[in-house]
Amino acid sequence: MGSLIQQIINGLSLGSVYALIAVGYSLVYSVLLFSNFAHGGFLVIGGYICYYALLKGGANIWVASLAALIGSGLSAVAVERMAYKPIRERTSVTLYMLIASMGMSIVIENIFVVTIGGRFRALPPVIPMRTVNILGVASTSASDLLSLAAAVVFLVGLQLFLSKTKWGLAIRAASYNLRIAGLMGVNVNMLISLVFFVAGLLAAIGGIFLSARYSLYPQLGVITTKAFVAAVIGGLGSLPGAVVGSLILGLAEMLAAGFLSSQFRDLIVFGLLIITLIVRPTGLFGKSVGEKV
Amino acid sequence: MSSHLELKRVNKSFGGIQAVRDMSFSIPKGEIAGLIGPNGAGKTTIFNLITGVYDVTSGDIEYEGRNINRLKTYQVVALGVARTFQNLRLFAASSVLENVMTAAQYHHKYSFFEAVSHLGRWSKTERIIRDESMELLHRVGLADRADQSAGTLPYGLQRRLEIARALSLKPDLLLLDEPAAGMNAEEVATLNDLIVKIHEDFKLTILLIEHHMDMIMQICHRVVCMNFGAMIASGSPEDIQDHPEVLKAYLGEEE
Amino acid sequence: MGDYAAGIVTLLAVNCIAAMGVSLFTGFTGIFTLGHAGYMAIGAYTSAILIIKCGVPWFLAIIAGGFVAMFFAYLIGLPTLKLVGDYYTIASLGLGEAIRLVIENWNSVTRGARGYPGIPRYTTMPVAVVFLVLLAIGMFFIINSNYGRAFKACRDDYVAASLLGFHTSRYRVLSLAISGFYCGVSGALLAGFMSFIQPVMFDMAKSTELVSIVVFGGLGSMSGCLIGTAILTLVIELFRSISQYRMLIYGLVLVMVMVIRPEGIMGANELNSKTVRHMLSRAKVVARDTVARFALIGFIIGLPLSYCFQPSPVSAISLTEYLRYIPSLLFGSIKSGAPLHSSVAPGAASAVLIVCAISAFLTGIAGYIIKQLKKIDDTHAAQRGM
Repeated sequence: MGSLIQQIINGLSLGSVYALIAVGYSLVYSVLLFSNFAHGGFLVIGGYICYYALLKGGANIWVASLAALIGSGLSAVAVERMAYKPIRERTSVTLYMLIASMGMSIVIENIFVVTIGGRFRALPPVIPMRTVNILGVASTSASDLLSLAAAVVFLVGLQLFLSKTKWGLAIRAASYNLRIAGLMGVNVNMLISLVFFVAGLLAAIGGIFLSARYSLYPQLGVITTKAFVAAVIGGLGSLPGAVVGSLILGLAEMLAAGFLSSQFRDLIVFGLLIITLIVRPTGLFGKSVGEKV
Repeated sequence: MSSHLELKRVNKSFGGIQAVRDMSFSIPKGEIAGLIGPNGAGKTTIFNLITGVYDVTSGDIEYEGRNINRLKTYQVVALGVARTFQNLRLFAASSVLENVMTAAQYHHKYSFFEAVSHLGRWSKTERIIRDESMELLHRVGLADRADQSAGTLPYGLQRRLEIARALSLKPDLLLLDEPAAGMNAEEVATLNDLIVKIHEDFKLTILLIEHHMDMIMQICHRVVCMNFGAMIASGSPEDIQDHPEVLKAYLGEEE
Repeated sequence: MGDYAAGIVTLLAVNCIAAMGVSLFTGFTGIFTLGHAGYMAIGAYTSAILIIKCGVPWFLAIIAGGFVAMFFAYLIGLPTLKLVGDYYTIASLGLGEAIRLVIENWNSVTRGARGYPGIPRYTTMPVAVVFLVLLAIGMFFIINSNYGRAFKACRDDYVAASLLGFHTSRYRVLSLAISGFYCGVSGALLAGFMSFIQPVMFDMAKSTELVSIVVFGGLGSMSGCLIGTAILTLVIELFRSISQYRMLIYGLVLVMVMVIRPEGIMGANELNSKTVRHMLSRAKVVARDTVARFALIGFIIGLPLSYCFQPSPVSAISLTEYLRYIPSLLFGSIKSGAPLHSSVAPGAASAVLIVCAISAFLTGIAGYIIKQLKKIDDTHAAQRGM
């Protein structure tokens, strides 16, 4: 019983990290309608900024995280400006942006490989890892609880931003129809930059927690594959879907690891994806795609 | 005369919106029927229901006395129904000839093995498909543009190409969705002749949606007029012309 | 021909076969996949296991690898090809990874993550080339048949296609099955070439590589896909001496191609007498207008770049030596640079120079074509505006 609760907490915590990544990915998808495979790169950039700010800059965790968030957000904007903007201005074929994003993902990963090397780095122990006892039935690490809390804070913050602010409203309008939002006087380029900034920022939080949980290395971004899977299970472009999908995935992964075998973790993830899509081809919360004839 | 196509109290709703309401009409074999009505009346939806793009919500669609409610698009095609599209759905990057050949191959099949090896029936069948397609292109006046890519044709010619492509399926019932849209009076006149000609030559039943009233008046044997998803009048073109409901539907906005 | 060159040709042939499969599925049927490395893995493992465990002759094992991969592609395609757009893309990613994970965890049969050693080296250059030629002929025949037209119709407009009587979902599955066969055969040949296979060889990066080759060559152009594979395989080989930069450059090329010429090298055109004549007739203009200019820029940038990229200070050569080496590079008489040729650096330098020249050339063509396309667009806009 205790171990079940423990696995559930671990699962929710992992799921919450996925959620931070998946929501950013889904946000970009909802506006530009393409899968941004460079999203994992933003996470790695955030992780490394945090690492160097802590280690070389001597900053405390708050300053380092802030730097990571902003740095990752800005690099997301830069990636958009350099690689996607010229494409989306010329054609409406989203496939080209998808390929470009794969290229960018390889570029970001290998910039780190080339400049600072591919070795694994442990984040300095700034995030408390000690064991916390929960009501005497389960114990879990403090960082798990912390990441859960951070995810809740940022996701609620995102929700408030999208529902209460002028720019949030514009983003939601753009997710219905970007072109019409542009015709209605929304500055589309500004809006897309903002979306990428937010996505990069959320990914950086995920990056910091992931590098604390595992360790930091250039290929850490590969883990976003799972966040993509989560977003697709939830329904592409749907933010609540991304969160729900992430939590389901985190739970499934931890329960599989705890009660079956950790080898089956990833298999469970992809099995869940396929089964969900066979039953519901547009995910749990996705809009069904019908075409006007 | 037996009816070729018959709709019996057909309804279609999308979510809460009723796009088609209690539509009933029938087209006798060999006639040209017109479907008219203001924009958004649900005319194209009728086409989509007949061809199986949408499923009917309630009611029956009968083709030569057989219920075709549940048939998929390709099964409807197998019965002998072909259509064109209001917003042109050509394979824009392919050549004009290839567009027609893609459809013409429906009646000339060969096995996968013959396709991979180009042995057996391949060369003969391909030649038949090509010849048939060229003949149809001649008929609609596009033979000299066979190698051009379909997307670069002027609008009016693209509409003719769609007709040629539909004809290559050798249909019995041809559904034309605004074949004269965007054409000038002269082009409409030649299109008129073309439709009358193919109607005779291929022994077709034709249902066409059109806004050019003079075209409807000239070639249709009967006309169905609908508004807001429901039929408001049907009968001979002369009857429809003076029907008060029809006039109201078209001119009613200026109350 | 030396062993090294024969190896490159073999690898090229193996890559071409897989790329043709993906090209049929993604380029001609219009379904974007990120999981085709999985079918290569199935082909490779089937062939390896059949040869080692069951003593099947290698030739039959390769064919069996193709058919088993085809069978799995068919089974997988039936339920999943209902999915559209990015949903299928992510699903295919999941499927590809799932295949890899099953192989990785099924220790009793596949020997798990450590890999499967001791496969006879049956894939010699002639074998690979014969397979490539036969499969390429088959593929070109398919796309020039009613099946090819059907695939393209389903790609361009599946609603219109279904109203022309095509059972579109059946064609999607068929296309996946054929591409599964090609990837399976390619995987089986790869197994015989490497003599050692490992699940990690068939991961998502491999799938990504396959699909980017196809896009690079031009979606909907089979000859473009072969040219694309040739260029990318050779570039990757040329860059072997600066391996740590290799992936970085590969990623950059991918982004650049998408930004500069997303249609890929060939667009949707095939390399035939018509397009060749067209290209030749334009060549003069292109040469005068753009290539010369871009090649000059490429050379100016490439020169210092290639000097900086010398792999390590130990094998670095002095600038004067290096400059002396350039004419021999440019004018082909490699022998005059013989004393330098022995060190590693000129290899890298020449690689960079060649790539700069190639990219300058491509940029030149791209620039020119973009100009032409804009003209066509404008005339279109004028027509539509009427």
